Amino acid sequence: MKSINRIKYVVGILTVFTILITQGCQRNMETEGPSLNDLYGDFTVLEDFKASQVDVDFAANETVYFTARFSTITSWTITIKSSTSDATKVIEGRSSLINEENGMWDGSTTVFPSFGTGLCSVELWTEADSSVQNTTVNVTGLRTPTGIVVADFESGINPGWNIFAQSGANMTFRIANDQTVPQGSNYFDMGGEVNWDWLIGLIDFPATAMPSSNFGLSNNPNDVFFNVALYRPDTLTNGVVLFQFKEDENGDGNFNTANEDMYSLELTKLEPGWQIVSIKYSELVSLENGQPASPKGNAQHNPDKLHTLSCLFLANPASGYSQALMDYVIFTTDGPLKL
Amino acid sequence: MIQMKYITVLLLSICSTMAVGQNKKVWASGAARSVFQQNSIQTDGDTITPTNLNSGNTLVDVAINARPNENTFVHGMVRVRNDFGGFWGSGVTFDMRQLYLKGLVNDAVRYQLGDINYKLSPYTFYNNQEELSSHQSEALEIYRDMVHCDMFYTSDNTWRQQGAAVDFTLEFSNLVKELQVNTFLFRNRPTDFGQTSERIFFGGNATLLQSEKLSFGMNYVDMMDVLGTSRSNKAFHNPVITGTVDAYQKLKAYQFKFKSESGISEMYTLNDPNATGLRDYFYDLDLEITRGKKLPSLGVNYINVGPQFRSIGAQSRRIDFGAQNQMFNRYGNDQVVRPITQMDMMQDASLYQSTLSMDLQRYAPQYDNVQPYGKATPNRKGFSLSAAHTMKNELIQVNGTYRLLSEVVGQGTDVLRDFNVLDLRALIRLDTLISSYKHPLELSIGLTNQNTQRDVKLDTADIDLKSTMIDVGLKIGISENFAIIGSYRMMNASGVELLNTRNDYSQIVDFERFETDMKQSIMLLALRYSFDTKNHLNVVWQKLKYEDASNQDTPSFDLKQFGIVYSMYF
Repeated sequence: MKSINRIKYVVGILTVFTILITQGCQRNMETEGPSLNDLYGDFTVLEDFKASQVDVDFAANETVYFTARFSTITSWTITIKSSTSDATKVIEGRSSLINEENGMWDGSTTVFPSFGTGLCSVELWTEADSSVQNTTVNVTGLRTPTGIVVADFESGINPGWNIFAQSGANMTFRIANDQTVPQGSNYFDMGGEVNWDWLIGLIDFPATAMPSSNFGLSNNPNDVFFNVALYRPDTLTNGVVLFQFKEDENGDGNFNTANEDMYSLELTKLEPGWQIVSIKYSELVSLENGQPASPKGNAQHNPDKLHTLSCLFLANPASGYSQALMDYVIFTTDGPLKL
Repeated sequence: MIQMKYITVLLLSICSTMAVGQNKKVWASGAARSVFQQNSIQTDGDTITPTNLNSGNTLVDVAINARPNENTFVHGMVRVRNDFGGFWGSGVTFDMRQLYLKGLVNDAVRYQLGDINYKLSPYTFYNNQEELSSHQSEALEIYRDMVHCDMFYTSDNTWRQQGAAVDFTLEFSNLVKELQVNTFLFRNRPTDFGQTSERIFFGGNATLLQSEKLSFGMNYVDMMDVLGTSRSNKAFHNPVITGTVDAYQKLKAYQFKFKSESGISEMYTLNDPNATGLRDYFYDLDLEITRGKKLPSLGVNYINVGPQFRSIGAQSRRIDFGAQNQMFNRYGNDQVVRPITQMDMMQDASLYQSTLSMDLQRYAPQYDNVQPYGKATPNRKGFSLSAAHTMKNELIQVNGTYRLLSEVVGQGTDVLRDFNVLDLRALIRLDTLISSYKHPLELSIGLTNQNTQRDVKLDTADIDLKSTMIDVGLKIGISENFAIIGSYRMMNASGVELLNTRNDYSQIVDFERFETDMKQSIMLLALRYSFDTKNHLNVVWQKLKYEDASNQDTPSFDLKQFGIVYSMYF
C-alpha cells in the first residue's frame, strides 16, 4: 500500500510539473523556415526584369532600382557594367521578388574604377533556370561622396604628414599613379622587405595637417565612420595594415601614450585587389601587441579629440617582400563610404 | 625563446621545491605520450598531392600538486611538446594546460577556482559524445583517447570551463533527508573593450533528497553578456530552467526507476531591434524496469523537445564539421578539401572544440541525422525502447535501443520528418568458455541503423536518408602484457536531406540540399604491450577506404597509416 501511495505521489507531482510547463510556456506551432513550395516548386518568371528609370543622376541623390518576380525563391545576381570602363557593380540576392529593398543601385562600385557617366548594361542571372535577362541604365550624374578627406594623394605629399620607411630592400613608400584606382588617379604605394623588424614603414596624418588644423569630427563615435581604399596584390598575403587613432583627451595638443586612448584597426586578411574598408569609430578596439587591451585614457571613443591618424604597414620579417596600396582615406558620417 | 627560458627555470624551481618538500605536501603527477605516424593517401589519377606524410611528436604533461593545508589543494599542469623534426628547440612548445585551486571552507562548503570540469543535466549543461562514439571497439579507442585527453573530454560528459564553482549540502532531521546545492560561474568570453561584451555562463542545481527512493531537483543556467564591459549596449541571454524527479520503487520482484526532466528555455538579445526571441519547453520521461540479473532490464523513454528550445550548454557540439582535416587537407588534381572521415574523427584534435558555441553548429547528417545535438536536439518528439542483459557467466553482454522519433513542427511544410534508429551492441567474452585460457579473448559487435524520411509530394524536397554502421572488434590476449586488438568498421550512408540555414538569431531562413552515397570502411590492427595498467605501447596499422558516388567533386581515396603510440600516466 505504501508503494502505491508513493507512485501516486510521483505521478501527482509530474502532472503538476507538466501542466506548469505546458501552460507556462506557449509553443509556437508554426512551420519553421520558408515554404518548400516557394523553394522547390516549378520555376517561372512572373514579371520580367526591368529598371525603375532609364536615366539616373546620382549627383542629385537619385537612385535606380530593378524589379522582377518569380514563382519560387531563387538565387539571383544583377551585374551592372559601364560601357566606358571596367567599372562593375554586382548586387546579389535570394528571393522570389526583386524590388527597391534588395535591388537598388546608388551609383556605388564593386569592381573599380568608379562609374563614369554614360550607358550601363545591366544583366540579371537567375540560378533556378540559369536564364539571363538584360536592360540598360543611363548614368547622367556621378555620386560625390561627402566626408572629411584625410588623404587622396592627388596633390602629392602633404608637408604636415610624417612618413617613415625602413631602409630595407625594394622599399616603395611613395605616391604612384600607374594603375586604376578607386578615386582620382594617385595612390600611396607601401612595399618593401625588412628582414629584421615587423615594421616596413608608416605614415602619420596629424590633425594639424588638415586644412582647418583639426579633423572636425563629431563627438558621437556612432556617427563617425573611418574609410580607406586598400589594395592587396594577388600573390602577397603577408602584409598587415594597422591604423592607429590617437586621441588628445586633455587638449594639450599632444598624444600621450601613457594616459590617453589609442584605438586601432588591424587588417590582416585583405581580399586581393582594391576594396573599401569601413568601420564605425565606436567599433575601433584598443590593442596592445595585437591583443585586446584596456585603453590607457578615459576609455571613451572621442572622435572629436582625434590627434593623429597613423597607418603602419607591417609584415613578418621572415616572410619576405610585402606590399599594399592605399587610397582615399576619408571619414564619413551616417554610414560607410560608397564609391 | 625568452619565454622558454622562463618556463625552464620555473620547472627547475618547482622540481627543486619538490625535492625539498619531504613532508608530502607537494608531489608531481602527469602523463607522457609519444606518437609517430607514417601516412599515405591514394587517389586514382592524382598527380599533385604528395602521397606520403610522416609526423610525430612527444609530449609530457607535468603537474605539480600541492596541499598547503588540510583543506586546500592546488594543481598546475604544464605541457611540453616537441614535434619530431624540430631540432634545437624550434619545434618545442610550452603550454599551461590546467591550473586550479580547490578546498573546503569550514568543513561544509566545497569550492574550486580556475579550470573546472562541470556538467548538470543533458538539457542544461552537458558535453554530448561525438558521432560514431556511442560504441566502438577497443582498437579504435587508441587514437580517440588521445584526442579526448587533449580536449579535456571525460567519460562523464563534462565541459572544461574556467571560473568558480561552489557546492554544499544541508542535512535535515525529518521529512527531507538533505538538500544538495551546486553553483558555478564561468567566463565564456572576454571583452575586447569595443563592441564585444564579456560573456559569462552561470547557474546551478539544487536537489532535494526526500529519501533514497525519491528526489526532486532544479537546474538553472544562463549564458549572458555583461552590460558595461564594452561599448555595446546589446546583451545576449539564454536562460534555461528545468525541474527533475527521480524515483525508485520496488514492487514484488520488479524494480522501477523513474526519471524525468522538464523545463523552459529562452534566447533573446536586449537592445537589438532585429533580434526575435525564442522560447520553448521540453519534457523527458524515462522508466527503467529490472527483475534481478536473470532477465534483461527494460527501459522506455519519451521526449518532447520544442523547435525553439535553445540551451547552449547542452547543444554545443564536439566536432565542428565546418573545419578541415589537418592530414592531407586537400587532395586530387583539383585539390579539393578532403571530406572528414571516421579516421579523422578519431585522431584529428583540430576538428574538435573546447568551447561552447552560441549557434546550432553544422553537423554531418551521414554520421548522425537524428539527434546531432544530443537529447536536447530541438524539434524532436517520440519514444525510445531499450533493453540490456548480461549473462550470468558474463559470456555475453548485450544491449539495444530503438528510437522512434519525429519532428514537433514541420520545416517549410506541415509534413513532419520521421526518424528511427536501431542501436545494438554486444560483447562476447570467449575466454569465459575456456577455463585454461587466462587472457582476454573478446569479440565486440556494434550496429547502428538510422532512417530519416519525409514525403511532401515534391520530388526535389522529399527526404530519404539512410545510414548504417557496423563495427566488429577483436581482442586476443597473448600473454599477461601482450595483446592483439583489431577492428573493422563499415559506415554507409545514402539519400537526400535538406539542411537548415539559420540566421544570426537561430531562425531558419533557407534549406541546403544534401545528397550522399557514401561508403567507407576502416580496418585496424594493433599490437599492444602493457607495462602496467597506465603504461601502454601500441603498434598500429590501419587502412581507410572512402567513396561518395553522389559527389563527383570529392574523388574516392584510400588512407593508410602505420603508427607507434606510447602512452603513460604517472
